[in-house]
Amino acid sequence: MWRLWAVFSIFVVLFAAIVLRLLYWTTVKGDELRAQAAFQYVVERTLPASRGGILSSDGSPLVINQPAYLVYGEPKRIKDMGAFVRSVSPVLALDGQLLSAQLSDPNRVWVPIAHKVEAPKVSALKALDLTGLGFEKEPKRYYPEASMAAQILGFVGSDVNGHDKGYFGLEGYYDRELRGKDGMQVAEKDVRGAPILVGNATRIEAEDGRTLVLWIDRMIQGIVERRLQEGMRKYGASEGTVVVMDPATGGILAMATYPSYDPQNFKAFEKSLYKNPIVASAYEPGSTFKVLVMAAAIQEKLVTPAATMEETGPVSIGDYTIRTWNDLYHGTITMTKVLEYSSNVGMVYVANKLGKEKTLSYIRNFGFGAPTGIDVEEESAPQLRKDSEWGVIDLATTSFGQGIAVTPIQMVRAAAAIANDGWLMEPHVVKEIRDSRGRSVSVRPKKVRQVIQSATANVISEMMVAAVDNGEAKWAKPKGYRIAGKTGTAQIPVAGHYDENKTIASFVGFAPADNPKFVMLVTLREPKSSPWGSETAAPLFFTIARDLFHALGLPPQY
Amino acid sequence: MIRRITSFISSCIPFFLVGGILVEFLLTNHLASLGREVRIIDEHISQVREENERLVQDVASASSLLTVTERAKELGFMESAEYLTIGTNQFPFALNVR
Repeated sequence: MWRLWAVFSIFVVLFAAIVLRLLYWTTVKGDELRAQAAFQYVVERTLPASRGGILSSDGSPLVINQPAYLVYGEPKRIKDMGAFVRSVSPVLALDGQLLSAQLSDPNRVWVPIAHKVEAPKVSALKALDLTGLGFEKEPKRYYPEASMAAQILGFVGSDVNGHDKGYFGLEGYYDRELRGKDGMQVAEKDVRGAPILVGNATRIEAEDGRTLVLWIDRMIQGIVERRLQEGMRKYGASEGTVVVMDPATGGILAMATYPSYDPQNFKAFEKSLYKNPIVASAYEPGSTFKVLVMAAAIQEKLVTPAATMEETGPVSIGDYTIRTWNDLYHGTITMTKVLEYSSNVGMVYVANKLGKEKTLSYIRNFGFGAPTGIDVEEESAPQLRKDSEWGVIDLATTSFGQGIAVTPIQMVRAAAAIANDGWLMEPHVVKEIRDSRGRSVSVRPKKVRQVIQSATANVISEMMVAAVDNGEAKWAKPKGYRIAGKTGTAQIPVAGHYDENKTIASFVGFAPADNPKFVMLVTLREPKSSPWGSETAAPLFFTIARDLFHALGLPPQY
Repeated sequence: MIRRITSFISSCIPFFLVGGILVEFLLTNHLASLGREVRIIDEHISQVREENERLVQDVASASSLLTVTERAKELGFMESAEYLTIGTNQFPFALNVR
């Protein structure tokens, strides 16, 4: 009897063991096994989104995508490693030994050999018909205009996960819009890997990145870049910038910096060149700042163009002495003459009439001390000192543009306010954003505030025309056009004092003065031919202006 | 008469059922095997897209300012060194000749 019970017990135990094991596989390991099974019969494929392009104002492409591939090796499928390396490395210009070492790692089944390889090289590799060599699409950027507008555009590099990411300029600022969103396809597959149409399938289409249409005019950008390079060579400057803006909309028509870099091969250039100095580097504006302080004083009705002051000699402020740039003094001069002669002494008189509070208020209203909001990644804005830290000498030096740091984009925007009936605009590079279906959203021009009244703007514009017609740079001015402008020569601060020999020469202006189509700022750092703005930046401004008059079809006005 | 028709229909139902099941099997099998063609079409679409990208790149390159400038030079166009403007007060002779 006990033998029967023993056998029965053994069967019960075995049965219980089987049930427990089944419970284990269905509950504890259930999810894992389901996933493994799904991996065998489900294929999941990412549908990559194309990165959006960047077009100039006439629709010509500045940045588009070109077909490129990731080339990879599967070491376990390579039959003859030596022949493989000898065939592949010359095509991709790789070190054969290094490649061989990478492919010989026993722990790796998949080795990336080269990223973003262009189509002709891929065709050459495909022609080799090598087992173990594979290709995966990995588009890269193409710049039809080469290095034009490099610092506005930025470049596309990789993030920590190896995915494309935009850096600097527009690629950085609009990275999310340009990137788009990858799609996904999940479908049941047969033994050969082909999708089964009647099976379960999910497809989410990729959303291609949006396309940016810029205010940048390709023709104007080309003119500006060419003339800037010529000017750099002629005047021996170490760095130069030119920015051209539409005063009515705030649209950036051109922005050039030299030296620059090639975004197609950004790794071959110094990293310091990636940053756009027009939006990211500060300088002391010098005498170009005088027009803003004068505009403030006229707006406050403290001076008029015909009001006079006595320019008899240097002015002492505490331990400091303020002189004119050439140490010449003209006696009784009008406010218009103060700008024509670019008189520092005259500007100290104006600043004293304005007073500290009003001067600082107008400096802030003209947009200094805060970012302009331009749509490029690396904008920075030098902060203004606290009001309590401004002394009498600071007010005096600021009146002629020393002792205050600004960026070129801040300066040109402030000058554009004068050209735009006193309205300060938010500068923008992008005019329109288009999605992959062709729907577009316009980036509307944004008025920030009216800094001065229209009447004041007209008055100061006439004073700036007089400064051009009768000032130090009048010899270079194109005949037949009314151009409003101001030269600037600022000493460069070095280790707590100003360098006596090094200057930043600049010129800011707009034309035609009565109905401005463009406002432009030219800066040249450390020009060797002459330190003065009237002899370097001003003639360069007028040369570019001449080209722009012709390009924009603006006839002479008189 | 109606009874005959009804009887006829009743006797045909099994054949319809078997026929329907057979058709479904054949259609499903055909659809299931179409996955390979779909994959081929997908690859073809991908190739055409890539070809389009290459053509867009070629067009962009051909219409770039650099290319147009070089072509213009080949055709004999010259770059103007400088534009000279003169004001009306510099005209040495009278205008408005009637």
